[in-house]
Amino acid sequence: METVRKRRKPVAEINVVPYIDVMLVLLIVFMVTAPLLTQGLIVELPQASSEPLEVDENAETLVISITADEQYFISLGSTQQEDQSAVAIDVIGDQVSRIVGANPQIQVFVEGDGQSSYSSFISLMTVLQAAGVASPNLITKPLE
Amino acid sequence: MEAAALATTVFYFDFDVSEFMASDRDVLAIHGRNLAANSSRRIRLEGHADERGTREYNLALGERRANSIRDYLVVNGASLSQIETVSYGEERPADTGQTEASYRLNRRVEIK
Amino acid sequence: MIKTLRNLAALALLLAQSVMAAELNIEITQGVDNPIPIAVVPFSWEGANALSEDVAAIVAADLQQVGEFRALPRGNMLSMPDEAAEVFFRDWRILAQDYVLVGKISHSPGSQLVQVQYEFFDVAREQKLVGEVLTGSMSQLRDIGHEISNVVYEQVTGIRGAFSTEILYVSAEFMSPELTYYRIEKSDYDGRRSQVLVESQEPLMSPTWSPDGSQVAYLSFETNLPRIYIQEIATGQRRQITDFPGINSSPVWSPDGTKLAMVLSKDGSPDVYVMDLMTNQLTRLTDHPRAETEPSWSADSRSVVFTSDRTGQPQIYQVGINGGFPERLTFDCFYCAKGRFLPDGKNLVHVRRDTREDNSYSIAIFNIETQRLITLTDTSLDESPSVAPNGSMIMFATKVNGKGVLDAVSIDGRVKFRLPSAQGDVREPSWSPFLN
Repeated sequence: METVRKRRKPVAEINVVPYIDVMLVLLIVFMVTAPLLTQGLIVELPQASSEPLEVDENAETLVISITADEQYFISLGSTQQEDQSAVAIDVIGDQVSRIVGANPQIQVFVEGDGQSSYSSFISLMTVLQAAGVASPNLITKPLE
Repeated sequence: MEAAALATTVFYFDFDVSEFMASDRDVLAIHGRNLAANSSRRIRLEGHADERGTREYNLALGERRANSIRDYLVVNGASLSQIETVSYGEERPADTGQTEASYRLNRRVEIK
Repeated sequence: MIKTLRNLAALALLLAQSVMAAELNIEITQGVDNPIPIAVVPFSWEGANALSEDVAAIVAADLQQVGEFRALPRGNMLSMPDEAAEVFFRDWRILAQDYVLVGKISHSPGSQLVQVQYEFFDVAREQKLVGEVLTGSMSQLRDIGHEISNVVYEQVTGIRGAFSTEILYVSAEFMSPELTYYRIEKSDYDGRRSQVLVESQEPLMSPTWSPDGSQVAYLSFETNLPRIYIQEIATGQRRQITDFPGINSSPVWSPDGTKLAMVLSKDGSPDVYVMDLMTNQLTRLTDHPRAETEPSWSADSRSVVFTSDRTGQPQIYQVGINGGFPERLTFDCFYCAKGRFLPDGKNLVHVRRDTREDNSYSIAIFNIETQRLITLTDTSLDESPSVAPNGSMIMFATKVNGKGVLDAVSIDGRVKFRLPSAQGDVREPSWSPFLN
């Protein structure tokens, strides 16, 4: 009977895990805030110390915004800034339910201005739930 | 006996078999002798198949069944010129069901 | 370590994001299990009265029928653009669509005609792939729809669409035990717009197209004997081609249109012959005391495939156009018949019953080089396979609840559709060549 024994060598390798994690956090934060800039809406996001979201960057996402003056915007239609206009909340509900029907994997983001009211936020969440979005992703600004 | 035999004009076949059944031999012999005795009599043998398998192959099968009976009539004295054969393949089922019992009724040769 | 790798992969994905966006959706046709999502937006119409045809619905139905596409329901559309300026690609991406087709229908200036302008877009690339204006009469809107389907299908798959093709088939309407109406009918490939070409109280069989699509050959028992006729489709003018003793059956045009292969039993048993249509001269291809039938031509017109039961049960053989010793093509089946090659000359479509015990007839494809067998259907009385001119689908006849119906199956067996059922039994479909 012959036994073969593996010899272990010491591992001489830098552990890069922490560095990559840090970079990922930075990138995702940048990515999630990016639509904000293109949208041209003035939304002062509340700050929170939350875990960054996993975002599938290959899929188109849907962003619904609440401005400080309680108006709703949705990232549909023309992408030109001058074409952006506020959308009634029931229209948003209708549009989202069409989208979810065609694309159940759609990622929905909600960005509310820190100055907008809690009730406008709850109204939107109610409409989204009815449209089939159980848990929309909430966008916040990381703590400075 | 002879009248009863001559009144039998439909003969059935087993699946994928083109030779008539042995039990029909005596009746067919009487048909053959009747033709021999009545040289002016003309008959038509219509061969049929059940619906299983392809239509054009079933046309061939129906003809072969009709020919098997024709040949036996000739052996018994009938003249070839008295007999016309035609095959309808599976185009004219006697029974339109999809059971083995229906298929049995469709695999046939009719004397007309 | 696994976590590191996953993070690295995610990192690479993020960094490459801008580069990949341009390349991501180029070859989607590989996803055989996932139909390609396409939005066919209702075409706008400037007229006051509603049109008789919904052109966009025709296109959507065409594309869905062949199985490679899934059309977005109209209720899920966020907008109904009818031209490029109104197409917002982001919206269609949010709806997970790969392609968008839009169009508008308007009166053609100074005539009774209408013009249909359509544009077809690749959503991922934000690019118009094709756009044109088709003009026709109101009654041609369905043809225009099929033509647009052809273009869309070819843009996406690279294969010529067969949506403008037609089929011939036989219908039998049982009135009483003494009276059945047999008809040879012609319709669009999807069973629409059927018209009767021949009607008889005696059986009709084996309708088949001339290669130019202008004539049909068929078998009629109208003289109480099976005889072959050729009929001009446009004029209805017809002539009897054969009057030989015994079976005259199974007419099939040679691909060059000059000859008709057929089966005659004038010499004792059914054998395959070829008739030169110019000289009416017959050439005998097979000579065997058993049954030889169901000829079909190879694409190069140089050989004929046929069914023979010379070994007891039907099997498929091939013989050169000058006769000679036939080569047997099928072995491991109880019943293999009605063979015809796909355009590649290697894949043999046929009717197959595997064993005596299974008692079920299916449509199958057997590759004579690799010996690979694909059984395409799972109904039990399938027969008369006929291949679409683009080789993508096979139409065949089967029985459902005792009634003859026409089904189609894609050559990979993935997609099946059934034609809307007509009056009575329908059978023996024959798919036309390309007609345009």
